[in-house]
Amino acid sequence: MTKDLQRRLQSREEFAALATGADPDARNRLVESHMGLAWHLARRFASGGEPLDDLVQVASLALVNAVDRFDPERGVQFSTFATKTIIGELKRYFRDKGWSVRAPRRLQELYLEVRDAEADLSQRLGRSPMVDELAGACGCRPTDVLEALEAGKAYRSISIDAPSGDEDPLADRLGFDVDDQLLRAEFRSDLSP
Amino acid sequence: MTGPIELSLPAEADLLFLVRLHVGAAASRIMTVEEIEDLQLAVMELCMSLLDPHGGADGRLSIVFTSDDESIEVVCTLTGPGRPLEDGRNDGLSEPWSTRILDALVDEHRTSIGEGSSLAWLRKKRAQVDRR
Repeated sequence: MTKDLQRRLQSREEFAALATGADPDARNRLVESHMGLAWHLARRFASGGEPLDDLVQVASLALVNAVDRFDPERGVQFSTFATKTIIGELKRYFRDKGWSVRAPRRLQELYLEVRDAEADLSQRLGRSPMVDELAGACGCRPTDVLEALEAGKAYRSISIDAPSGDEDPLADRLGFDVDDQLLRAEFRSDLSP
Repeated sequence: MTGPIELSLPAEADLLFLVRLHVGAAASRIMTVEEIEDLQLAVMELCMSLLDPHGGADGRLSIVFTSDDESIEVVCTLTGPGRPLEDGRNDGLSEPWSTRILDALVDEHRTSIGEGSSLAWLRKKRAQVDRR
């Protein structure tokens, strides 16, 4: 029996124990045995610029919620349900954060408009909207919607003192390659009567 | 039916944001925003399953998107050094959570790690959308 299958069967038994209340530690064991999933997904979202520890915390809380809300009778694997729940919480976490990178004002406004339209259309249609439906609602082109959605993910900012591969930090390199024109302007200024 | 869209880039994890942008553009015609976000995550997971987490960037990653009105197929091919074979496994998904995540996000997926060339494939069907 593969480890994966073994783990799935074990989860099924744990949920059965949780449902009957026969084993009070079943909930803890279920959370602990899926913490790797929370870590894995948090790492996938870490490129958004938020500290990994914060993302792991969000993902872990989502995992606890998933364990509490999971209904084995629905015939879905717990890992599938937990993955969707954790991803949803991580996305919500990013949506609630502001920009640390300044996106152009036009894109910021369009992103807010697209986000409102997405919520409104999801409510009205009972499903997530298509890109062209969002474009129609916002009076813009589908490519503008895609651009705005990407701009909404522009949270990442890096300190200029952060190490940069094999090179020195950006702060140490700024101004290193002297602009010839600027140098000439300085010489002219120094030599002026 | 849309002809394939191909993207080729150095096999560096830092460049995978380019793949995400292409997924968004390729899927926007037939998928909802939520499905596009799921597909973006899945393709990133698929690419990461091929790259050597400790390795350099000597290889090249090629990603081909093919779509029809119902689904999108993505084929990722890594030429050059990739994720090392572990314990005789050749499905590339030695990290079990990758399999679970892909199971949750797409309809079908497969990964095959080989010496010098590795391949990963996924297919995601769109939901039946009632356009009003």
